[in-house]
Amino acid sequence: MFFALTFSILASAFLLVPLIKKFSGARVLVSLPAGLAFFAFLFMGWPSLRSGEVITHTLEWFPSMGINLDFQLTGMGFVLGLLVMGIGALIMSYASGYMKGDAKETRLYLLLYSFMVAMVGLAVSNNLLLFFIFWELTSIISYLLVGFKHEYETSRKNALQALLITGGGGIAMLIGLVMLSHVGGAWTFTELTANAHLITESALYPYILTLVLLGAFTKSAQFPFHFWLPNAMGAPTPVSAYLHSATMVKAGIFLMFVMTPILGGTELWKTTLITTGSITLLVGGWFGLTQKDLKAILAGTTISVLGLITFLIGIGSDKAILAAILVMVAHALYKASLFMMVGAVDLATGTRNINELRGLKKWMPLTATAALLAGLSKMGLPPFYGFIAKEYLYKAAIPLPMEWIQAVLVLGNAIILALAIKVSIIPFFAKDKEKQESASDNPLHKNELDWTMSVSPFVLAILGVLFGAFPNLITPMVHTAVHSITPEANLYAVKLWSGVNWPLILSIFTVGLGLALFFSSRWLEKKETPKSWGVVIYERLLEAVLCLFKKTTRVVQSGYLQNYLAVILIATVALVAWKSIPTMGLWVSYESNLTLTPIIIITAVIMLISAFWICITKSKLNSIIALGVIGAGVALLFAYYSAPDLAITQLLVESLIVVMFAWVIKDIKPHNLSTPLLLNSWYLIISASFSLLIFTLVMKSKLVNLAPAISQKMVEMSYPEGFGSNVVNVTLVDFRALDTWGEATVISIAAIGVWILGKNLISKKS
Amino acid sequence: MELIISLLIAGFFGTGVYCLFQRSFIKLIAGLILIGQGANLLVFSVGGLMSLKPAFVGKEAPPMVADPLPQALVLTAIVISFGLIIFTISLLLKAQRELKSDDLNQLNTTDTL
Repeated sequence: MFFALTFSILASAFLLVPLIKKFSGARVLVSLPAGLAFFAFLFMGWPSLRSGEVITHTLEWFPSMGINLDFQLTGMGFVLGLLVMGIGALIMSYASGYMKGDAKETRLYLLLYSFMVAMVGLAVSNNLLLFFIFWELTSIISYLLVGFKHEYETSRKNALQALLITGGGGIAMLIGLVMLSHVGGAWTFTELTANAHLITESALYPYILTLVLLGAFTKSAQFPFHFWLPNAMGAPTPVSAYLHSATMVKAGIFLMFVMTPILGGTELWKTTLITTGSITLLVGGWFGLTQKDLKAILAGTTISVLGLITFLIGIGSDKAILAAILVMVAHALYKASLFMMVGAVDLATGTRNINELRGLKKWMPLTATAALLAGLSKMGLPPFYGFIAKEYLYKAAIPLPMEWIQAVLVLGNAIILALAIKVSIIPFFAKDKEKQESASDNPLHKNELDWTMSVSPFVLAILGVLFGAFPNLITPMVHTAVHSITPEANLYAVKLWSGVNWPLILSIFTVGLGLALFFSSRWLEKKETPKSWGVVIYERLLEAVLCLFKKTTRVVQSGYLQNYLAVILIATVALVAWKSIPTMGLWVSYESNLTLTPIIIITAVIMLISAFWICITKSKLNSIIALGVIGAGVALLFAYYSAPDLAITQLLVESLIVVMFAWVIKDIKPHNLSTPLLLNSWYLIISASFSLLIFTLVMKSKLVNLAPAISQKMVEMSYPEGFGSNVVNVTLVDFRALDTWGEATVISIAAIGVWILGKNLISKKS
Repeated sequence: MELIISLLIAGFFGTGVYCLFQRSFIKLIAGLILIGQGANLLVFSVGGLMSLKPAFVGKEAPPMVADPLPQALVLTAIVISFGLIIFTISLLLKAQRELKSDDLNQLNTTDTL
């Protein structure tokens, strides 16, 4: 009921959105289904989650293989679902302003809704395969959305890049999941969790882990696969804000969360995740520091934060899991807000270059406020939710034995802080030193942006403050999420102020370092971003694969009829001979109870001579006459061997073909193309051996006796049931009428084809 | 199986295939027709040949008539191969018009038409 309701509200969007678009002036209503689904999910899911009741639903799918459509609401899935639908609703309303007047508007909304369905499905699926299907769906929809401006080549290229990388990871993950279910003996996450010891002790464990993590790392843009994310930012801003910062990239994180009780806790898991996470944190930050484009900077920090979360999941302690969830929520809130703000600025001023944008607060006060609030949360300053997340992050990291980790974390967070200042403060609040500001010097193309574009980022930014000041508003949900991952975890209270302690000192240090980085960051910006080596490897690999298959295709698909024919015939002859000669022998025996009359023998000889004549002659008229002779001969055979209907049809068809031929014969040029002798004798050998094969098979086919009962029944039923004395006719129009109907269809289609081609020919002529 | 009919079928298939190997349009069509005739004869003769006893029945079914089922199938096949051949002729005519040649080997790319 719960799942059905959520999904059907979301699905109703596919009906409602086109209607709203068509009949309502208030296009912001397109966010309605997402909003409703959000509240339904929240108010129906939360009470039962809090009371500890588990909402599950199972639909049979392949019961014989133990594979079913299992849905289950877990604490983690609940948090992800809320983020997906809540942010989704705001993004929808933002998109209705952003896409105003765009011809492909409805397409964007519906793609975003499809994505939402896939993402919610992913959050609530309890079956490995179901999870995988939703996972792949998000990849495919992301492909369509990144390539939304498909008129541009870069857009298509980046979409393909994102698809190939996440899709490749998805395939690796599928193999990993199948191995996982094989070792763990179940397809559901819940059962696998119970069998976790089987899996971690299995010899296959390292392979399973690697394959599953490949899926997670590609999806969540972890090093060394991070390079697709900045390229995917070419998508329209609502897409970047929704998929590539707040939700889809969190799917990989979500996978790591749900795998924690199944695959987690081992040294291999910890080392891999901690190392990858730390590298990603720094690589993403460095990428952000070198960029001037607002969206690229945000992409860089998104990669950083994803690395941070991976790192925390790798630590896996109770505090770390709590911190990971806090970071995830805080990041989703401020990053989606910042992305929407960048989209608004881009649309208003026509640029995203941070060096050109100054003093925008005067023109876009609401957007500027939203940017400031979200930016402060991103910097990790009190009283914002980002601050809480960062404090708990440090709390989780401090007990670790590795000192370098803390240095990496401080550096990473400092970079994020510096970039936050760059993105959210400078464009709005810095004064333009070069140009004198004046009222006439309005940088905006449009003075008024649609109000929906400022409200959505503002709401998210406000939530960041609200949750920061009163963390208990959502702490219970965060706690159930922690419990769904580590059921025995100590639940640490989430507080804004926990006294002067080591994390606070680290925070202060981070702020200092971040400010220093900010002031020195202008020297780091590059004029042109060189391709990162990840992109280079990807492009080389893609090129090599395409080249290989082009060459193979060129060899296999020559485009010459003769080659295809030769391959088919040689293969047929060889295979049939190989299989049948040992069992049936080569010799054919001849026996017949048929009386051969001279007329049949003479007809057959004439027909054979005509057939050979067609092969030899160079005259087109001779060919047509010989074909006519053969057709008439076949008709005679039909007539003689008790098939008058066939004879009549054959004669009619033969005449029509000859007429048609005669009609077009003047248009067909005489053929004086000769095949080289050697090649021709090769063709002759193939034809002859094929002919021999057919002869042998036909001679031997006396052994094949088709069931006579059908024919006998037809003869018996023809008159009493079909009311006709000609059994063949009754068969055609009655017993096998469907065949005849199909035949009529084929002829009609052919007639339409001939008509179109013929019309074309005539119009060309005149 | 009947020797003379088998020879005929094999001859049609062999010459038909040989015609397909040639490079001219008219041979291609002739090859298709020949193979079609061979296939029709093959199906027809599989039911057992019986001279001069067509499947006409009255109220009382006669004890021995020719098998009507292969005949019905072949009848369908004749008509369909007719459609196929007429369509091929128009297609090749069109191709020849565009290419100004009747060389089948110039039809090996999809893009130049």
